[in-house]
Parts: sequence; structure tokens; C-alpha cells
Amino acid sequence: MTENDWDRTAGAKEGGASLGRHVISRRDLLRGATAAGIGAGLTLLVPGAASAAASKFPLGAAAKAKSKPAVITMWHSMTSANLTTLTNLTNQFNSSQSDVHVNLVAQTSYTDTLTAYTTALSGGTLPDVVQWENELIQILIDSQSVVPAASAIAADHYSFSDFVPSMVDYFKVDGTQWAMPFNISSQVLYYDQNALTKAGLDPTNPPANLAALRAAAQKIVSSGAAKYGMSLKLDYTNFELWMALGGQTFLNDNNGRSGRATAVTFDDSLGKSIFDWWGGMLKDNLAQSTSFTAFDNLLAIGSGIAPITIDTSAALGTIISVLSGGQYPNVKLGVTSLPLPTAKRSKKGGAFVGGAGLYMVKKSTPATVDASWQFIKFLASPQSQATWASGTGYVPIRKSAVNLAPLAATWAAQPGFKVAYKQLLASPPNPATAGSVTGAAPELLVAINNALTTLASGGSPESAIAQAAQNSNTAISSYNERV
Amino acid sequence: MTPRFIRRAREAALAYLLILPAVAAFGLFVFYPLVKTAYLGFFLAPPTPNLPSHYVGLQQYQQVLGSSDFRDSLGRTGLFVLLTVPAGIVLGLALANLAQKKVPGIRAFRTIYSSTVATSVAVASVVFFTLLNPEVGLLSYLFGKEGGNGILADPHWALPAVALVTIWQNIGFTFILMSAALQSLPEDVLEASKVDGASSFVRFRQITLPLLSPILFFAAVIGVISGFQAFGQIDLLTQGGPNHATLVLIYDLYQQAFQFNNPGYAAVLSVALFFILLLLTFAQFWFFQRRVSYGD
Repeated sequence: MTENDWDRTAGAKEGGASLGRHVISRRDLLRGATAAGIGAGLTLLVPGAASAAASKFPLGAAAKAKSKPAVITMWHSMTSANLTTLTNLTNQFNSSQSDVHVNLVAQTSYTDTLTAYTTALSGGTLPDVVQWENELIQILIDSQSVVPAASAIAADHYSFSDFVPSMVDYFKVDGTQWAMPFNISSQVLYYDQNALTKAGLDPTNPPANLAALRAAAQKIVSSGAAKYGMSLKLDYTNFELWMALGGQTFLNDNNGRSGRATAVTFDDSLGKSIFDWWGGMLKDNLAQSTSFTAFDNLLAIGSGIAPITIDTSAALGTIISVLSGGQYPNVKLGVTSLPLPTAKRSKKGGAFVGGAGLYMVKKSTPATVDASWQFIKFLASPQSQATWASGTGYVPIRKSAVNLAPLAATWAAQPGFKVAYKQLLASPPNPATAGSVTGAAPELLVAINNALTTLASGGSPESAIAQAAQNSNTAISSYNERV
Repeated sequence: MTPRFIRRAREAALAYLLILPAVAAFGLFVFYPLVKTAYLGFFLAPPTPNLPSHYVGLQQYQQVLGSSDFRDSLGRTGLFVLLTVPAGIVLGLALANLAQKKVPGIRAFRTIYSSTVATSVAVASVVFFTLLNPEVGLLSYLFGKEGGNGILADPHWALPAVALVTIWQNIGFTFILMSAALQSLPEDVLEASKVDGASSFVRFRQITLPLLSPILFFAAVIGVISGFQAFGQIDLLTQGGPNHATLVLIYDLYQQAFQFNNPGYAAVLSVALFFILLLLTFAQFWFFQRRVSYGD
């Protein structure tokens, strides 16, 4: 039933209605009505589409529910200090009102959450809220098991004006806002200021681009300040970030955001130059390669083997507490934003967010869906974000949170925490800085890490990036076939 | 219907009835999953299990089994088995032979050599992970590979290192097997050969080994099957890396099923593994048929 059927201007037929310039006959009305009826019937056959098509978001259902409180479960992957902070926030939420009670279930890691969730999809019990790792976003969308945050946002007239734009945009795919950000981090440059001084470099002016980073590493090695200039973690995220900082997309179709990505775009001149740089650093022994899963690169700063590295801002809290323990007395930690991939800053370039977002799982009881939204809103509020960022080292998603206690105090005491926030705040909103989205993300991780591994064992950068592109394209097309 | 026929029919019925529980258990836990897995291979798995899957018939089997990735992981698995099975048997036999000597305190050695059978794969892997650590591992220093990325991150040495861990684990089992076999050898044959003036080497080669052939054959078959299924040590030591150097068939299967959420692909690998092992077992039976002597 297309719009053309309505758009008939061929005079009034027997007893038709008129809609401005368009004259609609009774036959057309009948045709339209049956088509609409069939259409509605068909949507009811597709599971979930009925609730999406027919519903508004059940806002306020938790408050109006007959049995209170609405009990919901949230699956998360937080541990140690992050877990403590999350538990405290949840207890605060639970005791502050009587409509919703939240039970936290720890899944220890993002991969465990993925496994548990997919198992539950084939006939187990799903949670009401799930904290889902950013790279895996397309898999959750394709599972058709979550309610897009957009419907709640529209119903609640929720405003994003106080949010950092890049943190919200990450979760927008194909025009739909799927989730709310929660624990956001970014990669930053960690370095030992004392080692830089020893090498004759200015510790207050750390390298701002890859060429300067190489030059700094050269000085560090030749001056004898350390064995290597830096540690390069075998992490595909750094490669993707450098592409984004250079203003280039990683995948086609606007990084998979305007439509399903079908191929990679990272094997362009910028990507090749990054691989050349990476391979050169390793080949010339200016950098050492460290494992993807361990924190050897951070330990190397402490032990003096390699005083510079790139790692997540979320590790800063742990690093500070380790250093304050006195084990590494000669280290003076410096934190700065990532070096740019080119000497000239790209206007379109910026970092995309790491971390996870919160998704509402489709449930049949409106009260639980509304309850999930109320809890997510609480966690996204400025005060909660101030508490959360202060206790964990994640960056706040609300701009107003930076002035609230306890965050303001934490940041005054440890300015290193501000680096990731400023880096993400400065990200101009566009597809490149939004980050790539594909369901084949786990395979891409393996493909690119493998290519970087060949660099570590002396392989050529050209063949490494070609191998990465080829394997990634195969993985993407085989995933897309399965949808 | 002679009385003899009825009696035999009744005996047969009783026999079938008694086997029924075991067959039911096998059917439910072995045969049904096998058939279901083969059936799974005919479908392209959806991103998550709650969605419908697409029927593609044999296309997925052709795609997977014809791919270079499959050939490579099969080659690696074969290499891994070649590295671990003969070495495990030879070392187990050598140690068992030495431990037969009747010297005081030999029982302590027998306990030590068979002790690896009591360690779980996980524990052994974690211990060896530390021993192979580039910064502090004893084995790293022993092989001159201290510092840098270590043996497990080296694409040429990762698989031999994992093989070493596997051999260490297998020695306990093969030692016990060979010890039991050596102790059950007929004394008179060995005595007679000693009297005839055969040297210990000749005695070992011409008499002991042929007498041990059934056990060697058994160890080889079991060794190959478990070598093809080695998973724990790879998951804990290298996770299939570096750059797929230790990605054996089973680990590829695990990655596809649980990391990439692609049970269809994994099902094809599973069926392939089954037929490969079946083929290899038949081959070993055929090869050893004439060479294995079961008593007189």
C-alpha cells in the first residue's frame, strides 16, 4: 500500500472523501483499510515488531504498577573499585524511592556477558538492563531483543543538551539511538616524566604526533634513559583510534552507521602510514610489543624498560594507586591525549568512545521496561555521573558533572583524569569519530591483532595491512550473510 | 517355532533389554548430538540464537572445508600430534623401562614419573605459563629467550612450547601404561634370551618391543585422539595465537562457536574432526594389524 495509491487526483468517484487537493474514492478507502489491516496483522506475526510499531514507551508504568516495587536485574561486568561504586549507586537508587528495586548481577567480563546473554536468548532468563560493550553494539541490535532508548527518550522528552555529544552519538546507528552511555573511557598516552627529562626531552611537552613520538623514542634509546622508547600494546583499538583522529572511517557506509557495513576502508593511505610507523618502531627497536591481554606495557613504565605507552583511561585509578604504594619511586606519571597520526591536525578528526552502554531488554511487562528506564536515567544523572567518575576513573557523560562533588575534588587532586574527558569533548561529531559498527567486530579484533602480531615478528607493513583488510572483509561478508 | 528357537529368542530379548539403558544413554548423549551437529552444519547460524537460521544445504560444508583456514588449522593440528604423540610414548616407555630396575628407592621415581597424571590441564598450563614468562620464567632463561616477548609470543616456537607442555602432561599416563605392560611381560621368554646371550638392546628390540606392541598401539590411538582434542593448554597459554600459530582445529571450533557466535561453522568443523579421527583410527588399525602380536 504505497502513498501513490492515495495520491489520486482523478476527480471524485462514487462518494469519495476529499483530502485537500487529493480526491480519495470509497474504493480507495476500502483498499487502504484492508491493506492496513493486513499490515497490522503481519506485524503482529513478527515478534517484537508489534510492541515497537504499536507502542509508545510505557513511561510511568512502574509508578502506576499494582505490585511495587518493580524488581529488575542488571547484568554488568564491573569488578573491584568499579563494582563497589556501582553497588553504592544502586543501593542509593533503591533506597531513594519505592517504585523500582534493582538487583545487580556481575558477569565479570564483557565476553562473559555476551556468552550469558546469547545463551539466555535461546530460552533462559534475560536481564532487564544489560551493560553491553561498545564494539559489540551491532550484535545486540541484530538480536532484536532490546528496546531502543529512542522510544523512551521521545516519550520522556529527554534532553541531551548537557551530554558530551561524542558519548551519545556512539550509540546511534542508522538514525536510531539504541542505548544510553554509562561507563565511558578513552585511550590516553601515559609516560614517565623523569625518564623524558633524563633523555633531554621536555616532560611538560609530550609528543603530539606519531613523528614526534618516534623522535622522542629515538632520543630515549640513544641517551640510555631506557631500553625502549615505548611499549606498543598489540591492540587494534589504537589503530582504529588513529584512523578516527585522522578523520577517516574504518568501515564503509559511514562506519556502518548509515547502513550495514560491507567492507573495510582502513587500508587507505592513512592506514598504511600508521602501519608503516608501527612496523618501523618495532623493527628499529624503538618500541617493544606487549600482549593484548596483559598489562606488561604499564609495568614497563614502572620498571623503567619503556617509559611511554598508550592504554585506557580507565586504568588510571589503578595506576595511581600502584604508584602511590612506593614500589616505583623514580616514576613521575604524566598523562596526555593521544598523539595525532599526522603532523597537521585533521579538522574532522577526533577520538571515539570506549567502554559500554546500558540497554533495555524487551520484556512483556510494561512496569519492568519503565523501571529499567528510570534506573538508567538515574545512572546518567549529573550527580550519579560525578560519583561514578570519581570512584572509577571513567569519564563523566554529563558536562555539568565536572563541577559537582566528589568529581571536582578528584580532578583537582589528579588532573590526569581530565585528559580523556577533554579528548572526547573535543571530538567533532561525524561518522569517523563516531566509531565503527559491525556485527563482525570480534572477528575484526582477531584479524587486526594478528596483522599487528606479524609486525611484531618482523613482517612487512604492506602485507600486514593487506592481510588485515582481506580477513576483515571476509569476516564482515560472512556475518552479513547470516543476518 | 522350535523350542530351541524360542529359547534363543528369549535370550536375545533379555540381552537387548540389558543393553537398552547403555544404548539409551549413548543415544541421548553421543549419537543424537552427533546427528544434530551434522544437521546444524546445513544452516547459516544467525547472529544470536533467538533468530531464524537460513538453510544452505551443503554450501557451508563446502565453504568451510575448502577454505585455506581449515587446511591450515588441520596442518597445525597434524604437526601438534606429530610433536606430542611419539615423544610421549617414547619417553614414557624409556622411563618405565628405567623404573623397572630393582634398586632401592625406585618406587619414589615411579611415583614422580606417574604424578603428572594427577595434575589437571589447567594447573599444568598455569604453571608452565609462569615458567615460560619472558621476564621471570626459568624455561625462558634456559632456552636463552629471556626478555622481549617470550617463547609463547614467538610464531615459530609457540606450537613447540605448547607441545612441550602436552608431552609433560602425557608422560604420566604413558609411563603408567608402559609400566603395567612391562610388568606383565612373560619372564621366561626374557630369561631364555638372556641365557642365549642376547644383549639388553637386542633383547629390548627383538623381544620386549614386539610383546609390547598391543600397548604401544593402544597408546598411539589414544594419543592421537587426545592430541586432536587438546584444548585447555592452548586456551590458557596462547589463545590460538600468535597470529594463529597455535590455532588447532578444536580451538578454531571453540572460537567460531563461542567468540564469533557462529555455531554453524563450528558444527562443520566438529563433523570434520569426527571423520578425521575415524579415518585415522581405521588407518592405525590397518597399519598395526599385522605388526601387533597378541600373545601366542
